[in-house]
Amino acid sequence: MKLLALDIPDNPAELPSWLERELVGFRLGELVAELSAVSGGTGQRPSLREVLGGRLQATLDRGLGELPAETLKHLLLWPHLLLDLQERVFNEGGSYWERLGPASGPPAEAVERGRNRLETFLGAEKWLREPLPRVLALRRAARYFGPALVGLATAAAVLFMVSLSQHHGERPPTHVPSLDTAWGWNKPDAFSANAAAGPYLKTLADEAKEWFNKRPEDSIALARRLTEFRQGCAMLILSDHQPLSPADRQWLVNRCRLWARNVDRHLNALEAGVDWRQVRTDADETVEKLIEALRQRALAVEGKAVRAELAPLA
Amino acid sequence: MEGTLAEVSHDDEQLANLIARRDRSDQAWEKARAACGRLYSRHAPRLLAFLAGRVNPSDVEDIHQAIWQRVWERWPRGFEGGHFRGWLYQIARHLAIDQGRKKRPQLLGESEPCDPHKGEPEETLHEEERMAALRRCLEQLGPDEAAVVRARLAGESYEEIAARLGLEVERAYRLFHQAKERLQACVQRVLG
Repeated sequence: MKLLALDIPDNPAELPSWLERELVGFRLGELVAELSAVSGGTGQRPSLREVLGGRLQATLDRGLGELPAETLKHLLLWPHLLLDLQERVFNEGGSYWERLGPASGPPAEAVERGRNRLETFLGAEKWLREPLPRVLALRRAARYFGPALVGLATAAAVLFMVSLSQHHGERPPTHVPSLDTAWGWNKPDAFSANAAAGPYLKTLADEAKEWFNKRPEDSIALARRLTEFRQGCAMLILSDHQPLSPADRQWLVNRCRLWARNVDRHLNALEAGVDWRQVRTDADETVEKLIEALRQRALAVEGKAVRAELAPLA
Repeated sequence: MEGTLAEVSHDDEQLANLIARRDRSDQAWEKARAACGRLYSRHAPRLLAFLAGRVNPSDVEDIHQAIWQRVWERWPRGFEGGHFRGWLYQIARHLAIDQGRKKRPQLLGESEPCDPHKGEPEETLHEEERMAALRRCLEQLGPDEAAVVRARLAGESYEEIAARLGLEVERAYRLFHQAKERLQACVQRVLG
């Protein structure tokens, strides 16, 4: 792991151009973290406007060369201001900034993956706007909204069961899926109330991994598998996740909404005629990413718990 | 995706207008799709850089995808002309907040609406580790070395440092480069 901050140029005259290239680069967050660890300022954090004063517009037009050395020092001393400045530059920066090559760009594969996902999305959107005879349109609409309906129906069923059990003063029962669909988050015991937060999130990641246990080999099997996964997302969104803190619960639900949306997109793509192998690859990628996100969160949650335990000893 | 646009340069707002007219005909749709691809090529690298500094690494690509989908879905209702880039980053900023994964909620700036997920600032593990490792390694340096590193990273020149710490300029330079090597090796060792 290379430390970025230590590459600060020896010659002060080169500081503005070095900082500019980092400012538009992919690793600014890392640089900010390093500067904060070493030389962060103390006291009330000033705003960008306070630090740059009347020079903000000139900076947006012509770069950091416009700033006196003392102002640059302030930016290094309050490195979070660099992120504020980056946002202003990306939003409002003039052609000077547009021409500037970054110190580090995003991985080319990330840009390409994003392009492919956007293309798939636009392909599905096009399919949806095609004029159709009314009956066929209704059939297509039913197919299009199928995954959403599955989610809604599941949600409705869960809510109904919850309200029923609350009426009778019982604990909400879990849904009872058929054997075929009882995998991943659809399992009756998918959401354990007794685990600690970290292991709970790891279990969710492991359950998501069950997606890979069965490899659909045609479009219909893939549609079924995706629908089941989508149903699991609905369960995840609607469950109360007792082991988690409110912030982690909120994170999980927000996150799952995004995953559910992606699964819907994969189904749309499949129904729009995109090759099932491609859709399966895209879906695999979605699942891999959500597993990674859950594991990362589990690690962060566990790290936080350990730090809280150690705090009194420090 | 960019194939159906003539090879003339369009500014963002012209491309945005093409997208706004997408429902007029099949041809308009294809132009809109190409325009969207061109906007993607133009803005995706910096948008990814923007997200990389603000959300967890494992979330960057998902949020990036969600931004472009939202851009398309909200056209033409959401974008009424004007500054496309500003609109794009507004969406990016809101999505980053909505997902509740901002690393540093306090970085949003003083005029921002309240972040509903604002609890304790949440650094990613990756950067937390980086910061902790660097702090720990800094403690292992000699006092002069550590002071020079802190001063250099606060933007002080060797002349300023030498005058303040009562060192020769040459000595300040050597101390920094010596410390740089030691810190790099130490962090490497700590983080594997």
